[in-house]
Amino acid sequence: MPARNPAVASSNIVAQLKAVTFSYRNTPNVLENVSLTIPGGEFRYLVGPSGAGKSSLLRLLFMDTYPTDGSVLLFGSDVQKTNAKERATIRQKIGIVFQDFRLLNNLSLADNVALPRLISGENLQVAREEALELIRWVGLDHRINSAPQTLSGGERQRIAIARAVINRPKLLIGDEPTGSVDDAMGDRLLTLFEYLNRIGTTIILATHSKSLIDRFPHPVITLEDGRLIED
Amino acid sequence: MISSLRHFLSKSQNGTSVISRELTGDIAGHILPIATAVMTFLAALFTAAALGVGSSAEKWSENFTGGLTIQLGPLLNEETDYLSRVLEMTRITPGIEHATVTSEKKIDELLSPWLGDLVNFDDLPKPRFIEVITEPGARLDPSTLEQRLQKVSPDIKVDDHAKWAKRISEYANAISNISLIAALLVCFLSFGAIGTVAGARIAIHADSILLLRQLGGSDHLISTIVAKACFKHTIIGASLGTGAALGTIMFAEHASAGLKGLIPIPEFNTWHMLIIASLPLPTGGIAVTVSRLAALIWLRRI
Repeated sequence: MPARNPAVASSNIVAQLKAVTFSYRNTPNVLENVSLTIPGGEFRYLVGPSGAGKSSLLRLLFMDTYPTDGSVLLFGSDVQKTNAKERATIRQKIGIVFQDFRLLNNLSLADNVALPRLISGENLQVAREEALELIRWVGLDHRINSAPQTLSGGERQRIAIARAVINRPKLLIGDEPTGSVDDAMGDRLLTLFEYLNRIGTTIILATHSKSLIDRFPHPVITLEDGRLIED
Repeated sequence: MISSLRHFLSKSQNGTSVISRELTGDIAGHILPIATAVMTFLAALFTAAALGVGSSAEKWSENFTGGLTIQLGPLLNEETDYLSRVLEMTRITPGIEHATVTSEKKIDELLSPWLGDLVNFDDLPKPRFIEVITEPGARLDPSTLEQRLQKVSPDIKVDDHAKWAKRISEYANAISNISLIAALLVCFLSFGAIGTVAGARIAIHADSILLLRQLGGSDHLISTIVAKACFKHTIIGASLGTGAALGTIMFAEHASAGLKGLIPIPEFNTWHMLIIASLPLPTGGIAVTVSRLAALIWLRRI
């Protein structure tokens, strides 16, 4: 039996921050002693004023950066003790909706959406079929042959969401995922997120929209000046 | 490098080919084929020189070994007996298999490229030659033969072909080795050039590459995608460069056709041409190895 990395362990807790402090180089702390536990199957909003540290906290959760102090555990693994291969495996369990969408302009819409499936090693044909299904679901089947750069902000947002959910992630992280769409589309997307949550996906959404929280109520994590005010 | 290329080609039909399209359409896509074409062109010519000159020298060396030329001064009409005496003395020398007098016609043919058509060869005082073939393995000392023949006429010279063959062989080997070193230097430069262009491409597409990582792409997978994007452009450039080099070699062979026998001319056989024509493959291997390495180093740094 192969030896297991002691940093990788099974757990019901999807994400855990232990006394995390984070700062960019030579700047004041963006996050200060934040401890947070997110069990599997939770749906939580992350709120706070601009500059409160929401994006930094999300970046820590998808391992785009690492804490200056303290530790981040994802799916039971201390991310700083895992190797590159293990980190890649963990990332494949996470779906991310970036605030700036991050679509690849040289790829078709279907291939953009299929990207996480292709990275996971899925057959190209199967991945494209699943992508087309999701594109239809987010209401962009009429734009299927359009280049990503010709889409409006809202349309790009929907493609980014389709890409984030195609791998049926265990943890879905969204940074203002409905910020560029109208209320009707926002509701439709939140309905999708709630469906994913019901079938076991843990959801963390950063948002400024109070009305969204009112329409789709879930527990809220509040950050202010890099500190956790309410969980 | 070969295992890297094999692994790389085995993955050519999956999603990485699709994703690698994202990493094209930049300035590197224009520079890489041109740089590779120039490098491959030079490498192909140097390789051709190393192979062709070596082969030609070997052939010359084989032709010369086991032969002597006896040179006599220009003969007057009454001295034909003297030529016959020298020929007879040569033929009875132990170790000599065959000796014939070079015909005047052949001497004229040998001199014509150097003297041109305006000279009347019949008026010229021409030396006479006896071409000698020695028995294989014979221990014949050309200087002893020369001393014996000089008793007939002191101006007789015996020219040992083996000495010429050795000198030509040494010279050709030197050219061949220098060409090989030059070809290796071009290969080394190709590593640098492809590495630099791959690095530039990674910098241009840094955001896309980081996104692939954030979506769960392993460093191994991402470096394969980067290598695929470089491979296509490198193969195009290498094929163009090799094609141009093969054309140049064929043109040079055609142009030198009239000089055969006068000077050593590089000669190419089918194997030589196949080796040169296959240069795009190692170039592709270099592209895969170097671009993958550049991507892995970059990913480990961030």
